[in-house]
Amino acid sequence: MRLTTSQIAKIDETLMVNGIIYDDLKLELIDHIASEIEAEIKEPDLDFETVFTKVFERWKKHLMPTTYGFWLGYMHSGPKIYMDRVLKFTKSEYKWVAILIAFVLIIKLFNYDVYLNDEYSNILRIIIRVVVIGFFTTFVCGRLFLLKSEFITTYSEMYKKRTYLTVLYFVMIMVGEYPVLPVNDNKEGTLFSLLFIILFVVYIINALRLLLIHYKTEKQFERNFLI
Amino acid sequence: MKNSQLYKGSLNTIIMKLLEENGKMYGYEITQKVKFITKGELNITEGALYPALHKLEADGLLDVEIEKVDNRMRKYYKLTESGTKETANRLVELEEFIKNMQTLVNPKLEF
Repeated sequence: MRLTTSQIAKIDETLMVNGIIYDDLKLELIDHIASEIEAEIKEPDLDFETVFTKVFERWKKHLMPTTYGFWLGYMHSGPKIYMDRVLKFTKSEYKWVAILIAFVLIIKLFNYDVYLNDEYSNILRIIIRVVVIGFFTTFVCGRLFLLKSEFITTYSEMYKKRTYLTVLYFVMIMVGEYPVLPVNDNKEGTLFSLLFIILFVVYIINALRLLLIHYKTEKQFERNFLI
Repeated sequence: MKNSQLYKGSLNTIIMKLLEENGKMYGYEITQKVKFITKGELNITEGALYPALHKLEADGLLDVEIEKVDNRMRKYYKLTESGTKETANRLVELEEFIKNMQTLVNPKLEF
């Protein structure tokens, strides 16, 4: 038996109530849950409501609110199926962060540092400033573009969640927390400051990757005249 | 998924093999096909299936098509060109693995 439009709408609504607001994820879940209900409703004496409750009972573990504490922050929570996706993406990012930090620590062990105190240093400081401002501006443009997008994906939400940290990080760099910009007259070792600048850039590059996946997904939908 | 630790490493290859044989498939269909072929012995859970499908898609091995079926949208997965090549490689690896496991579990002693 094929489900009616109102029965599909009920599945959609239940998913929304349980925090599945992401169009890409919702589309797949609606079809999967509807297919399960259709398969089980074939049995005699079973009506839609009974099977609906039974199927959602099975899905409960994927929809329950979840946080991954240390990995994603205690404030960041959502349905498990969404949080698993966020965790997977973020963990692959942490791997590179760990490699970079380990690399810098090893260099430090050999008592090596970077000193920006010769005549070429100012050029390097200007380049760093341009790069930092450039990446930040690109991030802000991406964020503004997302305001226009009528489509919500897991990726666009992950991008939006990065706004606070990006702005905070940018401000810290600009006020001289990591003294490698032309305005800073710190001539001391700057290896750790350079590391933090690189991490900032990597953070934004990954955010832009999320944005690309979001627009790719949106295009797939547009191709099928869904929007 | 039954004996999840044993099957976990082969899940992607199982999915790719099914897509190679069937052209394009959607999530629920994959779970049912696996259940049917293994006579209910292997049950792929949604929690394992979708992350695997999304990873294969992100790696460029799968392509996606969205179609309107009845009164809802359905996301179909199919192999890309590189996905087809990769399936062949992974199947060879899997066959080697099975062969080695069989040798380890039932070693033929030669005297």
